[in-house]
Amino acid sequence: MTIADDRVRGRERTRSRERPAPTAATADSRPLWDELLDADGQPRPAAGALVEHIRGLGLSELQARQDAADLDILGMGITFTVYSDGRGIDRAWPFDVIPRVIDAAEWRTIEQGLTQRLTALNRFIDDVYNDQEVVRDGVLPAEVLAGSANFRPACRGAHPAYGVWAHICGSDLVRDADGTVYVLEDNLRVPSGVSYLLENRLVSKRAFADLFAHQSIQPVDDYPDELLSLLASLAPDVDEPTIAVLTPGLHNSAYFEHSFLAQRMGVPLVEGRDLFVGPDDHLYARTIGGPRRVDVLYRRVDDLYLDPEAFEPTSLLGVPGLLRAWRAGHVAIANAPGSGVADDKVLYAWVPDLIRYYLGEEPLLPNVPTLRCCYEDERRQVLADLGDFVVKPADESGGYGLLIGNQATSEQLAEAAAAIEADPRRWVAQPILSLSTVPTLCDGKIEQRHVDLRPFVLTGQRNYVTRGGLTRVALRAGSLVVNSSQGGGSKDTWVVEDSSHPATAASATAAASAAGR
Amino acid sequence: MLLARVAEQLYWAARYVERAEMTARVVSEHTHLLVDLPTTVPLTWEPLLDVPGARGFVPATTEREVVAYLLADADNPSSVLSSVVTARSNLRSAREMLSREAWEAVNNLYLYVTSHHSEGVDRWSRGRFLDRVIAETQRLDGILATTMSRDATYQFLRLGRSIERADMTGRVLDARAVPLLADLAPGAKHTEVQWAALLRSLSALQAYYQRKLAPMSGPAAVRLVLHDPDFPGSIEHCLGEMATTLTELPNADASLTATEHARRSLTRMFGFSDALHDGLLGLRHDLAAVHDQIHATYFPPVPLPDPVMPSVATRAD
Repeated sequence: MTIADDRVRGRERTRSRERPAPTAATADSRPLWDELLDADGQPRPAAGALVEHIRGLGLSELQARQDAADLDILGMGITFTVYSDGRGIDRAWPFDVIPRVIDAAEWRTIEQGLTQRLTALNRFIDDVYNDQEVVRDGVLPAEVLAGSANFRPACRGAHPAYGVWAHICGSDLVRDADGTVYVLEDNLRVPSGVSYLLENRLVSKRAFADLFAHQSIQPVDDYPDELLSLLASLAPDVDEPTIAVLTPGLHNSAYFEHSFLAQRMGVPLVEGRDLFVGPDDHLYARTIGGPRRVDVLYRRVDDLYLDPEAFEPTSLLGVPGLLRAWRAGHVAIANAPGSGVADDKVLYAWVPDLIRYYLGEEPLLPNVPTLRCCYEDERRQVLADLGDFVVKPADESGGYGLLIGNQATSEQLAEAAAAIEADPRRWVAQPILSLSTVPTLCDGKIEQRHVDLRPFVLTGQRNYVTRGGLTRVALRAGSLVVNSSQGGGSKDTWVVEDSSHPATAASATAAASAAGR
Repeated sequence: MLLARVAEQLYWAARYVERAEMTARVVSEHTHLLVDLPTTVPLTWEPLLDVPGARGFVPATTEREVVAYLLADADNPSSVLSSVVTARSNLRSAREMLSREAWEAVNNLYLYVTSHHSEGVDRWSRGRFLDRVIAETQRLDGILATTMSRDATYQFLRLGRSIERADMTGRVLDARAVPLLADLAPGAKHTEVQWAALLRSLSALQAYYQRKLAPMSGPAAVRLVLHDPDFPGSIEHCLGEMATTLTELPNADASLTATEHARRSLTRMFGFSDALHDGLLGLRHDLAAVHDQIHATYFPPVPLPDPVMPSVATRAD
């Protein structure tokens, strides 16, 4: 039983029986790009040790490790919340035991590209809330900004520390059939998933303990420490700043992560009702010893619900007066309110231009070519071949409202066309990328499943990028939707020094013999 | 910095874990007694309903009905099942304050109880279920004691555990000791076996032996459970623990005064049937007063109703 054999059989099966609708792979007839195996079924260099190890284990032992991992996840209480019938239900986090491997050399390039991108995006956000030179210089049309659902006029004129607004970003990367890695979208408001990235590593370390001992797989668990020092660096000038994580509450789909990060950083997890803004425009928490000042808030509540005085007046999740306290410089908020203006799916199309404009550099990571339905010529192009595009609403996340043209029924296509005609500003369209695959254990067999990758980028005085990211996998055969809310699973992601590189191989051998193996 | 809301969740979680453990012990010991006593002594299960104050309020009389109510009834907020579910849901929103091992222990207790509670109802599998519940709660206690810093988080857990243990111990004495003391012909009902069972259900039998109090005497057993300062299950010890915990917290004066009042009443409590019953009723009220004071000092109302807290905050008294 080898990965290569299963790969061939898996693809046969998915094509002939389990995919009634045409799929990405069949649509453009190019072979899929697999992250572990090359076109000849041979392991890619960085994945060599893993593939050999899995082949050595055999399918039943691999399944046993999957089962053990599932039990670990249940026992550790790693969950996410889904909504069904208006209720939040706690589900065990879906995890596939076979990791995704990325060559460390490739990762260094991606890391640079992400750093470049976030530097430019932050310059952009600071600009649009202040002088708007980007509009004045004709780089971004004024109507795009005017039409942005995430532009917050209440934030104009604010100057957060270091000119940074989007401190924490989760960007979604995908790899097309030719191996090119694209940035699919940037999540600059309240990106989630980093806790699962860390927990997946914990689970996979148990499943593949022997490989971790012999290979240089880059560690990931310094993220919370980096996040904490970033948050501390944002504090107003006080001794020992008080930092807190703000959550919408237990029923939020990412509550597990909010709690995880608070615990891992050793800071309180607060809800809006635990806080109030005093007459002195400082933020306070209701503690057992009375009100205590809070200096930095890592908020996981969306902008609109953050402060009923400034934004949505009916919100019960926020803190009245919070924006006032922030503008007065008495509390730092990460991400700053208004950061979402740069993760608008329409604005996305301009990001390469923004990189050139602010940094004078060519983008290191490409954007997916994006058609903007607000422009008539581009809209005509989309409507003419709707079946060849992925159509996305500009103001939704989590895969909601997404239409994949070649998997849609004719009714769905007609509905989408009507929706685009009705409100063109709301829609963008991108060619259907094939999305690379990783061998995945499905019902006792190894089959190809599509994946994306969400690395997390921290920006403050300096930048930090997670080593790898959260690999999300579409567990249904042929599906391209990887969101956990819609049947997606996850994998651990290993950034591995290519073991054929002599220096690395030598140090791994040395480490192994030092450990007495 | 400990949020008032989180402190309340920790306090209640600790109370519910303790309630689950003590309820499990009481049921476990009563099941043993069934085996120990000759069949000529009729053993009724209804008195156990006095522990949560439910006798006369729920239609349960047979062993199966009473045990199902105490262990596995989701509508009984004090059943082992409900207590564990509530404790876990409270700790879930205070998880960031716990050590990772402590959370996993709570979660495992929850997974076990929610999937095996029906085994507690059948007599043949009951022992195994209850032993596991008791072992898991003790494990949690040990993990908390060895992994948590002695900060306010720990003090609220300890406070909840002590006040619940004092309250439950009083309730068990009232349900089991008061009728035994009132009995005018003790030998006929093998009261010494029943006293030993009562002490065992409070983990007090070994302490009783060690104090060379044998042979078994009802008043001596009651004195141990009420007053012995060195026995960690005695009410005196629990009240002392509450007092030392409170001194570690800010603004504790009023709660300490209420605790001291309960201690003074306790010293006047004696091991005779009627007086004991009245004394234990008084203790229950004193503990409620301490609870109310803790609540008023540390858990002032927040602007919104809490979706996590169970609707039943205290039991029907």
